[in-house]
Amino acid sequence: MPLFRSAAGYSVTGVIAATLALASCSGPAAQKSAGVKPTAIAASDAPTDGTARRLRLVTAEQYRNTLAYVFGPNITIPSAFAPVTRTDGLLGVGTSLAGVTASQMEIYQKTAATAAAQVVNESNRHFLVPCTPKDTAAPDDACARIFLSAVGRLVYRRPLAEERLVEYIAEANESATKLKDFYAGLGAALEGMLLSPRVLMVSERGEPDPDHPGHERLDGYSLASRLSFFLWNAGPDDLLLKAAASGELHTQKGLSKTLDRMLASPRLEAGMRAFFDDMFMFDDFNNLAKDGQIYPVFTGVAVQDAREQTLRTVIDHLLTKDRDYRDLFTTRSTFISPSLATIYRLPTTPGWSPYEFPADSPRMGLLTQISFLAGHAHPGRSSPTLRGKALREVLLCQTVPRPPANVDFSAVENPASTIKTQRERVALHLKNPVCAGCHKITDPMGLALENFDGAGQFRTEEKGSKIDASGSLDGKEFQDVTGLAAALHDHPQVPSCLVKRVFAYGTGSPASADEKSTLDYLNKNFAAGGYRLRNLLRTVVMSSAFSTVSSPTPEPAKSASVVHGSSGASPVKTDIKTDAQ
Amino acid sequence: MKNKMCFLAATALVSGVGTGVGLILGAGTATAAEGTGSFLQNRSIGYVMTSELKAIYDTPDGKMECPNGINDGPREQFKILFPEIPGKKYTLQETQLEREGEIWFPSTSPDKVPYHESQSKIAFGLNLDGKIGANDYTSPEGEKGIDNNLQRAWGCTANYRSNSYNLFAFDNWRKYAYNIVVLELTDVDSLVNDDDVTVTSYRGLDKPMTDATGAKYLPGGTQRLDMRWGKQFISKFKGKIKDGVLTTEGADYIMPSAGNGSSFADIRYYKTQWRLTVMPERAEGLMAGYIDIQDWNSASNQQRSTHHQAYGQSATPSSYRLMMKNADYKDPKSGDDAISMALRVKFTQVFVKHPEGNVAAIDTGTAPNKTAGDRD
Repeated sequence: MPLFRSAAGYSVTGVIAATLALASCSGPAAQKSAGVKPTAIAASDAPTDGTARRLRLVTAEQYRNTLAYVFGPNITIPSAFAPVTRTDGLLGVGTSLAGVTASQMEIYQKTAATAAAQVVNESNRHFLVPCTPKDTAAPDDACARIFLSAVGRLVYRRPLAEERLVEYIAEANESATKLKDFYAGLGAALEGMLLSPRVLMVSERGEPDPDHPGHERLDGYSLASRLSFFLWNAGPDDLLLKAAASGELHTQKGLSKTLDRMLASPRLEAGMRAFFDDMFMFDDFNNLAKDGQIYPVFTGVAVQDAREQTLRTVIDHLLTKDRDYRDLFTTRSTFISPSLATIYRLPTTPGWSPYEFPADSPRMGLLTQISFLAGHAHPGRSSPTLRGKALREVLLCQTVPRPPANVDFSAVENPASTIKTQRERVALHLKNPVCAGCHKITDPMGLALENFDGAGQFRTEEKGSKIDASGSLDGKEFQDVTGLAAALHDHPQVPSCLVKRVFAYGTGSPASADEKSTLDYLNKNFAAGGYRLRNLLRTVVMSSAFSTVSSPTPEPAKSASVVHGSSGASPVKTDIKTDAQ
Repeated sequence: MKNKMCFLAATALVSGVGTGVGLILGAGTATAAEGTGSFLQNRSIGYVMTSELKAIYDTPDGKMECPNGINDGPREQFKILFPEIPGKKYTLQETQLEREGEIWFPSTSPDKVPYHESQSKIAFGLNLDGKIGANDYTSPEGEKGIDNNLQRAWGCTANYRSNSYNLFAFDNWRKYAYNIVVLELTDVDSLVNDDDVTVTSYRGLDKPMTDATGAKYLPGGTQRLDMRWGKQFISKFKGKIKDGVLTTEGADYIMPSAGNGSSFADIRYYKTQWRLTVMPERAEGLMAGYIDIQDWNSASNQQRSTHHQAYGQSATPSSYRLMMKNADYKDPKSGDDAISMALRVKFTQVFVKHPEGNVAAIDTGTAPNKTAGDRD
C-alpha cells in the first residue's frame, strides 16, 4: 500500500523505491544520476550563479545547416565529423569535452575545401558572391572585402575584426595572383575561414551583468550563438546578429521578440529534430543491424525510416500540433513509409504518409514504434532488459549501471537452452542476487513490450508459447503495453527528464546540483503550460540561468597550427593565436 | 481501459482463442483488426503472384510420355526443312521469310516436320467441365477428370518440361511491373475453413517485395491496384476454403502479360478456377482454365523472338497446330478457340491498397467483354 499518491495517481513510494534501487544497485554512479523528485517545489527564476561558459565543437549537422543557411541548400557537405562522447545523456553536452585530432583536422580541411569550391564555382558565384571583380584573372580588394566580411560575420557568428579581415583579403589576393583567378583566390580564403577554430568551435564569452551586479552574463554574440544552436541547430542569422549587436538580446522585451521569431521559424524544426535525435540516442542507428535470416524485413532502409518516423511523430505532435509532451507515449498518430509498413504489417502508399493506428491496435506511443523496439533489442531477438534500460535512461533520465565485468552470461546465452520466451530467459537474472538488483528495475517494464520482437513486429507467441506481456513500472502494474504506455504517460519523471535534457542541451552543460531551483522552476512552468514544448523552450531561454554564466571565458586550445590549401592556392595559415579576436 | 480491452480482444482473435479453431490459428489464419500484426485483416487478405509455370507433367527420362523423343525447336526444324545440299541455294523468301510468315500467320495444315504429342495419362490440373471424359487425365494424386489438353500439345516441348531452360516461364516474369497479378480474398473468416469467400483479381502497381538478396519474396508489402487502365484484369471468383485449400468456381479472366516493356499482349483464360493452399504469408497451387490460343500465339511471338524461342526448343507454328488440334473450348463471345491447361502458381502475401473511394466494388461479371485485339 503506497504511503500516498501524487496527483497523477502515481505511487510516490514506487518512484522513490525505484530511485533507491537504482542508487543502490551499483554504487555512486547510480546515486549521482537518480531522477529529479516528482513533486516539484515552488520555485522562482531567481538569478543563479549561471551555467558554465563552454567551448563547444560544432557538429557536422550544425556545420552543414549553417552553410546551407548562408549559401543555400545546394552547397553539399558530404563529410561526417568524428563522433563525440555522449555525456549525461546528450552528445550536445559531449561536444564540450571533445578534442580535435590531426585526422579530424583532415576531415575539416576536406569539408571546408569542398564547400568553398562549390561557393565560388561558375554555377554559384554569380549569386553567392555579391560583387563582380574588375578582372576575374586578378585580385580585387574591394570585392574580396565585401564577400569575406559578409560571410565572415555569419560563420564566425560575430563581425570579423578588421585585422583578421585584412589577413583574409591578403590571402585571397595572394592566391588569386598565383592562380590568375579571382574566384580561386576567394575560394582559398573562404576555405581558410571555414577551417578556423572560431568557426569550428563555439566559444562563449562573458561580461559583467549590469542588472545583477556580481554576476556575469553571456555577451550578445555568445547569447545569439547559444540561442541559435539550441533552437535551430545552426549558427545565428543576420537578424539575430543584429539583435546581438544592438543589445536587444539583453532586454527581456528584445529577447522575447527574438525568441518569438525563432520559435516561428521553419529552422526550429531542424533544431528540435536534432535535439530529439540526440536525446533518443538515434546516433546508435548509424550502426544498427539485424540478422537478415531472422528479420529479413528489417532492411537498411527500415533502419533509417524507423529513426525518421519517430522524429516526424515528435515534430508533428509537439511543434505542428503543439500537444502535451506526455501524450507522445500514448498517441496513435504517426507516419508510415513502405519499409516500415512491412514491419507494422500495414497497407501503405509510396513515400511518407500520415497514419492513425486503430483504437484496438496494440501500437500506441513512441515505445511501440520500431525505433524504440528494434533500437533496444538484440540482432536476433527482443530484449526486455535493453528496452527497460533505455526507458529508464532515455525517458526518465536515470542511469542503469553496466553489468559487472565478471558477470556470467552462460545461463542466458546457452545455445542449447530449452528456454522459449524472453520472460523465462530474464527470470534467470533474478536467481542470481548479483544480477537481480539491477534487472528488477529494467526487466518488469521491458517485459510489457514482449509482444514485439527484435525488429518491432507484433507477435502473440514466442517459440510456440503464448507471451505474457504483464509488467510494472515504479509501483504501477499492467497487463500489456497499453498499460505501460499509460503508466509512462503519468510518470512524473517523464516531463522532468525532458526539462533536464532541454536545459542541458540549450546551455551545453548537464544540470548541476546548484541548478535544482532552476529545474524546479522550469518543471513547474512546463506543467503549468500543459507540457508544451514551445512553452518549455521559451521558459528555458527567458530564464536567468540561460544567459547567466559562471566560469572564466574559455579559449580554443592554443597549440594547434594548421596549414591548409588544397587547390594550388597559397597555403592558408589558420593560427589560433592570430585567429583569436 | 477501453483501449486495453480492445487490445486484449484483438490478441485473442489473432491467437485463435476467440474462435476455438485451435493452435493453428495462432499463425494468423483468423481475421484481425489492422495494426495487430496479422496478415488477415478485416476479413481480407491479398496475395501477389511471384511465380507462374505451365503445369506439364513429365518423367525424368521422358520415355513414358515422349517415346519419340523431345520435339525439335526452330533451329532444328530449320535445318530439317532446309538441309545443306551441295549446289543447292535457297532464297530468303523461301526460307527465313517463309518461316516468319508461318509464325505470324499460323496454320492448322499438316506440319512439315514431326512434332509429337505427349502420351502421358497423367496431368496436373483441375476438372474444368465437371465431367470425366475419355480424353481427360488423372492427376498425380489420382483425381480423375483432369482437363489439360495443353499437356498433350506441349508435353514433349523442352521449354515446358522440368529442368529445362524454361526461359519464358521463369520466376522473374512476374517481377516485371506490368505483369503484377494480385488476388484479394474477401469475406474471409478463417484461412482454414470458410465455405464462402470471394476472390478478386487485379493488376497491381508495385514490384513484389524481396529480401536484400532479391531472391526471396517477403510478405507484408503493399500493392496498389490499377483501377484506371487495369479494369479488364478484374474478375471475381466465388470460392471456399477447406482444410486450408481454396477452391473457386470458374470465371473468365485476363492475365496481364507484357514482355520486358516492349509489348503488351494480355492473355484470356476462360472458365478459370483456382486451387490454392492459402497461408498467412503465402499461397501456392494451381490456376486452371482454357487459354485462348490466338492470345497465346500473339503474346509468344510479340514477346519472344525466334532466337529466344530456340533456347527452349519451342516452335510456335508447331505448338499452335497441336493446340488447335486439341482445343476443347470455344469462347461464345469471340468465337476464339481455347485449350484446357493449368499453371503452377505461387503467391506472397501483400496488403491490398484500394484507391480512395473505389474499394473493390467493380463487378465485371464473369466474362471479359473485350477481345485481345480490342485491348491493344
